[in-house]
Amino acid sequence: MIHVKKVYKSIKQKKLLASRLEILKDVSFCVPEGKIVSIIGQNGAGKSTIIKTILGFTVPDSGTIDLREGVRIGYLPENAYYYDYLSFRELLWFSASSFGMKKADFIVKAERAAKQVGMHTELNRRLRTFSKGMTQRAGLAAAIVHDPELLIFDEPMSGLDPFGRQMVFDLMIDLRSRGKTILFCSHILSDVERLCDEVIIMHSGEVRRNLSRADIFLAQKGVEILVEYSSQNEETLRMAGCQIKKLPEHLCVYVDAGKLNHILAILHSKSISVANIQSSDITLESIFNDIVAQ
Amino acid sequence: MLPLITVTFLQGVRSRIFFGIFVFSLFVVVLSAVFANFFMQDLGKVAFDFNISAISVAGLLISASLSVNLIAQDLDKRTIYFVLSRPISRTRYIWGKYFGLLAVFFFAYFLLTIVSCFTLLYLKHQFSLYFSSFSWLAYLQAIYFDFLKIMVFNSIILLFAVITTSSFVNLLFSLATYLVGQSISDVINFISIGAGKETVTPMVHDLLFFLRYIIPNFELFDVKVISAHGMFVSAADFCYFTMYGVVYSTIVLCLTATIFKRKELL
Repeated sequence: MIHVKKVYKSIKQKKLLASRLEILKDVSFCVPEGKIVSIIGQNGAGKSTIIKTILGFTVPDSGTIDLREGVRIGYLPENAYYYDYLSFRELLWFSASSFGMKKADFIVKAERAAKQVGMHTELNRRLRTFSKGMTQRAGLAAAIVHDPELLIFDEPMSGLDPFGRQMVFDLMIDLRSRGKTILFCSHILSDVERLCDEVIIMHSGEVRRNLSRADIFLAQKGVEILVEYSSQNEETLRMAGCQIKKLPEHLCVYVDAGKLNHILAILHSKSISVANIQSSDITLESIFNDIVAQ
Repeated sequence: MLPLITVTFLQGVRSRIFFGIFVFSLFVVVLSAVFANFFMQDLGKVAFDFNISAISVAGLLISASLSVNLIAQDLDKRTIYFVLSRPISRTRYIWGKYFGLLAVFFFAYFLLTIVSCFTLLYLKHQFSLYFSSFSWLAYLQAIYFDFLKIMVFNSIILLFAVITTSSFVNLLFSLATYLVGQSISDVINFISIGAGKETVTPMVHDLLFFLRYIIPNFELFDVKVISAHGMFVSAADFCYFTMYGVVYSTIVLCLTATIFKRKELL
């Protein structure tokens, strides 16, 4: 659905004679059709910038972004602010009619969208009387009312209470089951872990890791083996294809559960003693923290 | 583009500033029924001027408050992302906002014209002697040209709105353009005659003649004086002034859209 290839973007800095600041560096990823893909990263990692570039709000210095032609997009901006003099129904009308939806169709779809975000009783209320969470949900309804094929959400859970977060969670699951493609940014890693088919980790304007659901699942099902630190041991384990983390006196080896016997056999044959063995505590959060710490 | 025009229209008519200016202008229009009584000899002309001026000032005040903030607010509050993520190009965004503004002004001018007509009708009925040169058509002619002036002025405001993101700077530049546009014809006339010619250097003379083609000539649209005497501009002038307003606004808006298309919206 979306192919981002080698995108670079820099901006002018406010200081006189300062060089341009690179905010996206060699960003490449794909968003497959019918999948939920999330971009995670710290503040300033370039998540919102890449989304704005995909939507054409800014032009990349180099690289290409291919979007399937004629695709209908539903977009929820970060810290969404809408025309607060409109009622919720008028906001939905603006959203739907700009995609050419007819009035009869709109009446049905507006009700459905409002119901999906749990706000069908608020259709006639002005947006200026809404709380932050309600505005966020109104924005979600405006993003889905025209039945888009591609949904791009920038921090869809921000400002929502636990009930609202669960509602967004259910909505995204429902949209995926109807074949919609979703790209979203989030800071709430537990939600990302539960929802996504793919996770893109960005740091300092670069894509650092691109994890599939299987990668995250296998990591969680893996085992950690602690062995004595030596460069020879490290070399042996790397040759065996293990993921290794250096500790002060040990090497921590992450092994998929299915390869455990094979790795243990290698350790035995090379007479490498095992200090400890335990199930892995790798989560998306720990992967993310490792990348940020590097 | 229709949804954007509608939303801009609603933004205008639902804003408190618009409501305040509108009510104030209505008050002035109604007040003219009392105020004009102080000028018995010229009652008809004073009532005419008073009503036209109230409508004209309302137009300028709405422009200075509503139009100036229109795009700046969208950029500041990031509403623009919501709008441009729909199949609305940046060019259509500019035109949509402009036509939405025109709809707001049409609505305000229409209502104020109706109320002012009632006020004038009352005065005409009470003091018919002083309304001998009064013509309803001439009155509508003056309002029509004032609307054209507002149309051009708002295209200028939108141009400055995409060049600068500050509403205040936009207001300053727009007002400066308005003031220069109001007086440039007089200045040109002055430096073209004998005494005036000697007061400026040839360079300033050439510069002013050049500016004449860049700055909108708002004086063209000021037909209050002849209209107050029940006279009309010629058919040729009517067409020329209208064409001037439409073509000038179109060129300015095309320029605005071109600049806006290149604007970074990060």
